Amino acid sequence: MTRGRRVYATAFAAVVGLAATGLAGCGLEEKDETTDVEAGSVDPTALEGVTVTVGSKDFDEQLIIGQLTLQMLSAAGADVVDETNIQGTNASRQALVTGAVDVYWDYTGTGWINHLGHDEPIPDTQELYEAVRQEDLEENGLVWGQYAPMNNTYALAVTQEFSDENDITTSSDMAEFAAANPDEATVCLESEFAGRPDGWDGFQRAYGMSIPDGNITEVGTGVVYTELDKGERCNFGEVFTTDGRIAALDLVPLEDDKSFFPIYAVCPIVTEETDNEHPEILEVLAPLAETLDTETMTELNAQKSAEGLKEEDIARDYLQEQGFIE
Amino acid sequence: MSERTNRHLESGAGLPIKLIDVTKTYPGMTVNAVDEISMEIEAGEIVVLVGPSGCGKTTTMRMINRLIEPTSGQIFIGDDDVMGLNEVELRRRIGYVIQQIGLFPHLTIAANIALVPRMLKWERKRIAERVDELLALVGLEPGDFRDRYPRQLSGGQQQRIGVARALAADPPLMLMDEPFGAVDPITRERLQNEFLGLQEQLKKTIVFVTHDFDEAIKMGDRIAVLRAGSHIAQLASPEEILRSPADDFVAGFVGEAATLKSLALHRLAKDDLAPPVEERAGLPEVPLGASLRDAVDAMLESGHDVVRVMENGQSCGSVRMSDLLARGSKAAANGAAARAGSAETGDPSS
Amino acid sequence: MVDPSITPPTETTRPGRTAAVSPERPRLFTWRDFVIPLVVAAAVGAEVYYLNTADLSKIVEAQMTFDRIMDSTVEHIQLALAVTGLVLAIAIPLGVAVTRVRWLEPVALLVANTGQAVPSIGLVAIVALLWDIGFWPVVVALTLFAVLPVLRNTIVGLDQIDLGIKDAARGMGMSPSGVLFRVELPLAVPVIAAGARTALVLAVATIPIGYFVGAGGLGDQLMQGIKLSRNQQMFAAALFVACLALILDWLGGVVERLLTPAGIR
Repeated sequence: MTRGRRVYATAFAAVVGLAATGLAGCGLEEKDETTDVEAGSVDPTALEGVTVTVGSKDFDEQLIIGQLTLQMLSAAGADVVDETNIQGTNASRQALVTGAVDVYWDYTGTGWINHLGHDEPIPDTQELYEAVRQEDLEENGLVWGQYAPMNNTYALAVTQEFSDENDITTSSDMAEFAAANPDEATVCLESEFAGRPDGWDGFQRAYGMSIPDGNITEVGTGVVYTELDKGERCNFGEVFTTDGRIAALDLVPLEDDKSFFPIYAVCPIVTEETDNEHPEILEVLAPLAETLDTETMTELNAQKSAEGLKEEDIARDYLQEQGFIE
Repeated sequence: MSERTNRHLESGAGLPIKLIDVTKTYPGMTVNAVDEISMEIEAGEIVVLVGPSGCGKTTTMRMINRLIEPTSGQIFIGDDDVMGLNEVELRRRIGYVIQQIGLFPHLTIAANIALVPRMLKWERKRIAERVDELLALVGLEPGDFRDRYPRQLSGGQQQRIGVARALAADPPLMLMDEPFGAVDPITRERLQNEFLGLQEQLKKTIVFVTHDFDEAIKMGDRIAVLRAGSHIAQLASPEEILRSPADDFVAGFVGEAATLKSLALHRLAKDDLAPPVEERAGLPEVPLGASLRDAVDAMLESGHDVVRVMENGQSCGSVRMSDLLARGSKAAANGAAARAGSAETGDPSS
Repeated sequence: MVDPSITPPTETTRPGRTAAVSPERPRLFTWRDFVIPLVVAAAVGAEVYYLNTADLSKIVEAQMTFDRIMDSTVEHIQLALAVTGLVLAIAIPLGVAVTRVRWLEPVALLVANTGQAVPSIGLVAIVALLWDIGFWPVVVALTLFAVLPVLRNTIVGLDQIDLGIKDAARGMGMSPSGVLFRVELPLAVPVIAAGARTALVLAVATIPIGYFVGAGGLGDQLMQGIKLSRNQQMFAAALFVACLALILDWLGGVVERLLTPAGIR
């Protein structure tokens, strides 16, 4: 390398290095060690002196639940550590198993199929919950706490315009449309949904559809929403029923009139040891779980997705509203 | 004019070259790389440009085929102004041989040689014949070498192919920049001899650049001794330069033993010979066409004062040391007279 | 016309001469060249056997059917070839231009370096954002990623050609394009081809990144296996991607050898 080029290369490396560090620094938000909350209806001594590390997955609903958990536990006197926003289901679960976090919330369906390795879904919510709870405790020493009544499950969705134009409000309507207009039955799916037995294959079978693979585009979750909105590549898209983007993008989730999709409940999970030492954790969170129904969760999600509020604020407002904290 | 040049001019091959005040300046340089050089090169003669490194001899040569564009001045090849010709077309009619040889390693020997004829759109049969002809001309068996690759050849063989390639389209003019520099002295001498032999037949106009004065004397019909900026210190025949160098600069190039060197220039012809001498044990022999220096060398080596000159196995004459000494003193006298004469008329080339 | 009295005796290659002569043409391919394809065939065969006979999770069974795998593999190959083609189409002319217009060099290398320095997933995301999702946007993004090795190798390959060769070519009257196409590029082929193979392998390995914007290819099966924690699927898909990379690299080597002029093999 000539000297001129060496100088240039060093300068370039320096600039890139600084930029990367700077950007990384900007990206990382300060994580609070403690969330300053005063207990309302929560017993402020329940977890006094206990350090609890809270994890969560990386999408909106999970981030909000994570903050709710942090603030509830803090109000109960715990010293909370925020380790939310973990990338991916597997990593989140691993964090609990290895002890990097003490508690996180997961979905019964995910537990059954992903973590416990079953291929056949259980359609009944309560039955599924109990099966998961029992097996995960026996096999893996993990305790699933009280579940929230919200129904976060899959749905197929269309844009408001498409729904109006073609009079499609239920999944059966979709089946009819697909049969009559095979070329326009284009679907965007996320890869996990495409692979799960309680996902695309089962759905098609339940509604008597057989949309050719050529009409299907597999993308990442977020991209489904944007593509649906754009309306070029797919007219139908797979969504989560409590997702805030449904409201934000004016999408219409199709009613699951044949009740194919199981109802997945979300629960806090801790290890057996944690539960034995500090059963208060799950006890404190139980009343919170009970308040989280579909409407409530969707509303909270929308506050983040549509209005752009920060999850800490959303959580605080909600908990104050509910009287859990002052 | 040398004896050789006279013989070449008889056939009329090659084209004359004229350089008129040719200058090359590079931006940022205070002195010109080539400063208004003017010279005329006769058709069919070999003119050697010789001088110290950086004197601009290679630059001058490369302006003739416009690898370097002159800053000012004119260059004529025959009646054509070089600047008015398409430079790519021009180069296809000039043979170009360089020290690094520059054979294309990815092509066979035949393909290498055939390049310019192909560019000139010769038909395939003619090209194939020409390739074989040239291989034979430079002493390489066509059947053996045609399909080889350059890396399979020795340095000397590669250099021969370089010359063959330059001769392929039978150009009237050749530019050669230290063409035999990349090989060992033994091979170099052989290549020089072979090339001179070729030139006997081909009679091309050749501009030959070298820094080696001995090579200059051997190869050149005339020699241009160049100073910095390609200023001509002396442009004359080798004998002339050896006999009477124009100034100290040229004398420095000539170096020692000028007379001995001039012996190398003279090839034995029938006219030079004394009557044949009987074969005797130990008497040295040299072939007709060997140089006087070879003859002296043979005599010194054998300790005899006569050498037999052979042609086709038969002796056609002899050379005596006493004859050489007589020659030498006569030449010295001529030289003195010539110097006296040129001092009067101021004519630098005689 | 050749005058026999002057021509020196012709040289032939007599045994015992010290000239550097190797009259035998090296053979184009030996048995050693087929090791990689054999290893790949064995690995793929073993995996296919496993998928057919082992006790697979239903999910894996449904996803890893022969048809699905073949479709994904074909898509993957199409993506890889598209990326390689586009990379060659951009990098080689750009490399040639840089050797002619020297001040372009830092500019071109800066762009290429940035292309490789920016995380590939970021590149795919940016292109998807600005343009569209699907096959071609992913191809373009990965092209930016893979252009550096080919560009650098083109420049180096052209620069390392002996100056004497280039001078002889010019001096004998080759046009500038003639010098480029008949001398420089053929001599640079080995180095450029090596860069192209690198780009090809990079492309194959990075294509799974494009799964989230609907690129297709074996990345779909791979990411699905990861998300659903189905190790059998994950492993199988990863193995197929790796085998694909090996085979395409091997093919690249074959092409390289065929393209390398005989004289410099």
